[in-house]
Amino acid sequence: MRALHFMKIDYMLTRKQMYFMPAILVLAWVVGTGVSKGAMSLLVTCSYVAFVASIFSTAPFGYCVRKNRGFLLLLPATVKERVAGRFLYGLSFVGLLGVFCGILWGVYAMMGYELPLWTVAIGLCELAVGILIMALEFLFFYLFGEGKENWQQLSNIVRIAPGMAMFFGMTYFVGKIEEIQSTTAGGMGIDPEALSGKFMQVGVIAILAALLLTAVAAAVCMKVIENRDYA
Amino acid sequence: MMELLEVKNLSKHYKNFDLKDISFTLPKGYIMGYVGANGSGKTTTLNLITGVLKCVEGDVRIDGLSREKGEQAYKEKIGYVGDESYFPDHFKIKHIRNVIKDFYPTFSKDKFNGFIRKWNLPENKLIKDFSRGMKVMLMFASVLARDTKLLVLDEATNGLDPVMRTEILKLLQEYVMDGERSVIFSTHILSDLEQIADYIYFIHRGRTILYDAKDELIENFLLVKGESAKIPPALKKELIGLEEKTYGFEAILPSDKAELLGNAFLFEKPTIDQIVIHYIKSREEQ
Repeated sequence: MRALHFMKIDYMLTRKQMYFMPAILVLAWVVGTGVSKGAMSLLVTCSYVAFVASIFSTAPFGYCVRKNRGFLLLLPATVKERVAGRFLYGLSFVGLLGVFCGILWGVYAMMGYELPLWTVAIGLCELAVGILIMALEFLFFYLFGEGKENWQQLSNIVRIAPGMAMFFGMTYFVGKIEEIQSTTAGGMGIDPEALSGKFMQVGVIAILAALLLTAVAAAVCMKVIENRDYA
Repeated sequence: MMELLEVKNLSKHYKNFDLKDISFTLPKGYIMGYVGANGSGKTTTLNLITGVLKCVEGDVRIDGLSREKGEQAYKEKIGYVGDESYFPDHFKIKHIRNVIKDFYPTFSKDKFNGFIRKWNLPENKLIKDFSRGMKVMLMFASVLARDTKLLVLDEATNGLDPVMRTEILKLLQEYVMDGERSVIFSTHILSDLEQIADYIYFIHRGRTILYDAKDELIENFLLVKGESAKIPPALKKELIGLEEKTYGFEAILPSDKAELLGNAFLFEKPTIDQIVIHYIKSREEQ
């Protein structure tokens, strides 16, 4: 329960970034439609959303400078609850953006766009990568940079680089898929729709694996922070 | 007497600083002044007591409970007010109220709101825009609005105007009045301690120098003044923190050595300030 209270504190700390979220989500949609159409544009939008999630989910670390950390440390709770709260914040943040992508998918479906199941599976894989990046960033901040005030540049790189790589990688990948699709239309290669079931399995496994790895990262952080001064 | 705070052989090692074997007890209903020069280990000790720093060597118990036995209950007993605000700068009072309400079952919203109104703290300003005095009073409001047993103050009154300091000293006296709660209070303003402290713990370079009831401490020493040339060797050996001044010397002497004074010197009861200053001087010379 107290972990949830810590999650709430993180939302309070980062409440200002929430004001920008609607504009950023519209931008994500614009970027997606600018790169491609239909399901492919949704994949680009989702990768942009995952990029945004990887940056914004780590925001609480920036607010917990040494001076303010005392506030959290004095609260009657264990280190485990505090770290769990931070991870819950990250997961719920990525999850909320995942829900946005799901809603967008639904809107596109209602508008009559063709959305093959394998594109949904790739969307799930994007979400899984988004969760994984968040977990790795949290691991980095807890192990090396929690509350450090002189780490601005390095922490910015850590926050931005992985998500950005994912976004550009996905944009490239969408281009490749479109290329493969045109090849398939010519009678060469395989038809991804025939393997939709397998793709969906991979998507679900990817999400479960990301959640499992996030739990492992949280456990490592708890162990490390428990043995640290200012624990 | 029932002990509220028990500190036993508390030690902490850093690269350039060691806190060594700090031991004391603070009974219920009393105020302890924790004094020492900058860098003497006051904040380290208080952080070990509050659990902000990890306690590896030694033992701290509040009302018989150690942090290891029950972290949540242990922390609930503590109210901490530091020399600077620990609240996030981007919070407003409503956020603080919200957090405290979630974490402390004994938190009284009405009591908290009462303090906010009484001290005219602005509800709609960010904490970063509060004056130092407002920040301190907000910290007090947040700890006094719940049921704590031990108030830990780390130079909380430094930099406050005399009116506000007087208000805080009054609050502390009211806080211990029921005989169930205690205060440990670190400050450089030793005149504050003269007014309210029952016990004094004096620490220097991480080591205990003096620890006694305030009145005993004052009784145990004499402030001696006179001409330096007239100090006999036997007396010189016993003087603590001998300081040459334009009119002669000034030093502290244990009261049980008073017979060494004869008639050549002036002596009087020292203040806590004077005892501490002369002790620090003697330690610096060693």
